[in-house]
Amino acid sequence: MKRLLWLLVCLVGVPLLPVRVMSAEPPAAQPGGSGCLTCHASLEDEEMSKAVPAWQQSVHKTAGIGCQDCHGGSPKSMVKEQAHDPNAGYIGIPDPTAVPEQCGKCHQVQRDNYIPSPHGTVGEFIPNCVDCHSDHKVVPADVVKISTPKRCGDCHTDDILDQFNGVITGVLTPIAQAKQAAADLRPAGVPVDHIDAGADLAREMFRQKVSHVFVFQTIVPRADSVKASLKKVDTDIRAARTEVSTRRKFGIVAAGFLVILAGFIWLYRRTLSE
Amino acid sequence: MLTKYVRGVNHWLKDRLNHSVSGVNRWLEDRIELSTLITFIQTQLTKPVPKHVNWLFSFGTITLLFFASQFLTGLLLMTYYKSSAESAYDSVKFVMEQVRFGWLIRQSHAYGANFMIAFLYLHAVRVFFYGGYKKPREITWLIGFLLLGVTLGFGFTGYLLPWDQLSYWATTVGTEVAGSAPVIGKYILLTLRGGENVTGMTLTRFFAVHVIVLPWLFVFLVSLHLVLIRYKGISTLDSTKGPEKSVEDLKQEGGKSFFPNHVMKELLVALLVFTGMLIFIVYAPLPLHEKADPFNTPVGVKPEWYFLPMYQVLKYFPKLVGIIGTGLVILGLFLLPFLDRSPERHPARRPVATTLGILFVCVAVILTILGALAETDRTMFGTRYHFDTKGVPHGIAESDSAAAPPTSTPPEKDMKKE
Repeated sequence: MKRLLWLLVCLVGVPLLPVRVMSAEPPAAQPGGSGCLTCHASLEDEEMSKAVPAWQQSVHKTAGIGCQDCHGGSPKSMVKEQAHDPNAGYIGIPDPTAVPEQCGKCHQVQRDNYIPSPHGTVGEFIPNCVDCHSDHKVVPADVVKISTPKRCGDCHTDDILDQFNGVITGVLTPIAQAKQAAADLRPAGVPVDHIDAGADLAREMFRQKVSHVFVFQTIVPRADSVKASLKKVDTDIRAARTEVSTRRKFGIVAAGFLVILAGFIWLYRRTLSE
Repeated sequence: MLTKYVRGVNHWLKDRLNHSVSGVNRWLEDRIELSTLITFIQTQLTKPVPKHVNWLFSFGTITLLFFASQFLTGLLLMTYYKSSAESAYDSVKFVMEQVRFGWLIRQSHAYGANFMIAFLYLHAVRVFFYGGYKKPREITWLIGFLLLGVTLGFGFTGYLLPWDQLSYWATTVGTEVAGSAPVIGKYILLTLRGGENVTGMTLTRFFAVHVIVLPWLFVFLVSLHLVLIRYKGISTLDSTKGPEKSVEDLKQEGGKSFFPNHVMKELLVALLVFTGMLIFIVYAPLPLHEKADPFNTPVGVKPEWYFLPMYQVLKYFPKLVGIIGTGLVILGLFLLPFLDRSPERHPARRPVATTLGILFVCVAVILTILGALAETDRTMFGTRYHFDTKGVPHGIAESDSAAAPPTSTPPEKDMKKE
């Protein structure tokens, strides 16, 4: 009886192994969040709770940057007074003039370009990081939105904003296109690592020399030099596309040959039928 | 006119071939009595197949041809493949990007696995509807079912070998679940992984099973399968109550010889299928994902399509019920010849079995589609939908699907680097 039971268990279990093996949910990625979320997510005051879903969509969550990294305090405590204890470094809403240094702890290149820029030298750091990148959602600044005179228009004319927008998108767009081309070509099995690396290098040049500088006379020639560095990438993309195209032609020719062969076999079969 | 021409060429080729081969034949005949073997083979080849045998009966042979193709392309891949965690991914990438026609070999192997399983499923469905599993062919069905298991084993072990993100995490989760079995779970886990975690040790043992154990098992089982098919012949659509049809009976009923009639039919289908695969290879190549990263779980890890129906079933029922239910269905299919006692083979004369079969196929297809849609966002009829884990669509606003404003570079990567 026992043997029969084991046999049954094996017969049911063995075929199921791959099913069970493939069925479980993947382990969830560990968020870089903190205990602050537990209280703030359920606060009725929307001003105090809206940061939670915004942060949860942010790259800071993915990177493990929690509330305490900008606001200080003790995230492990569930008691408000302890969590918000100034002795634990709690600062509440950061002083706007301290924001560039705060963000610059990690984003050094951007800080170094921004502080001597016209936006930084005003002294009050207007606009500062969160004006363009948002506070909790932390999104890359969208150059199209920058040219919208909602905020920038307070100080700049539309013409200036459009010019600035043109310079920036003139560099970022071909970089993005090169990255996309590499991603599209990769599945075909053509070498694209050098295309990716070329685009990354251009992006890094942009980051170092153009991003957050905000001075036309400086960024225009620098942007041109970044664009010039992409010419080799363009050539490589064209070569990779030609290779993919050649493979497709080969595939079509080989497929045509097989179909013709199949046609001959079909004819041969007809002679057999007769 | 064209048919006449082909026939003429055919006769000419036969004459030339006979002339050249006759000398070799004589030499071999003196030494190994080749004629006995040839007579046996000719008898087998000229055996007639039942009149109802049509194009659908070529699926089994196509599966076998795909195995041959997998064997050949696998052998070529092995000349470059390095089965270690450090170099497996790079070696596959090297084959795809640097080796002449390496992309074709690797894509043929990757697509070949999918085609092989697809045609094996189709073959099983065909055998079911034509009642080919019934007396006296029960053992052929049982061996065929084991062959299906071995083929799925090929798929599961081979999936890990490129050592990319999806394969790594599918194996991690899979072996973890296998390890949760009571009492022996821990030992299963350690045996599969070769340690506590999925590492290079796991890769080497999956590789060994993929290239040594399973191929030998497949060859052994498929040999038995083929011998039984040749011995018992392809089943007719008659009731199992009566005696099996003899060769003469089949000839009288208009059954044509296996060779060349049926073989040419199979060859024709095989050529068209391989043509289709070639088109897929050049127009929709299967990607090699990022290299396996044990510290970064990718979103939406899913099994390959051939496991999706079983995977999806487990989402709709409590785990234990799903597992037992799926296990019983698989066991039931395995033991089908002993459960279905009806003597009729013709699908029209066994309406219950035919209806159940159609329902089973429909459910499997629907579950596969739901599994493929689950955990994805798609635009259908102008509206954007999010499909949850059960495959149920929920309408979403465009702004929800694009959390960040449009940017020139992927935001996550961009900001991370900064």
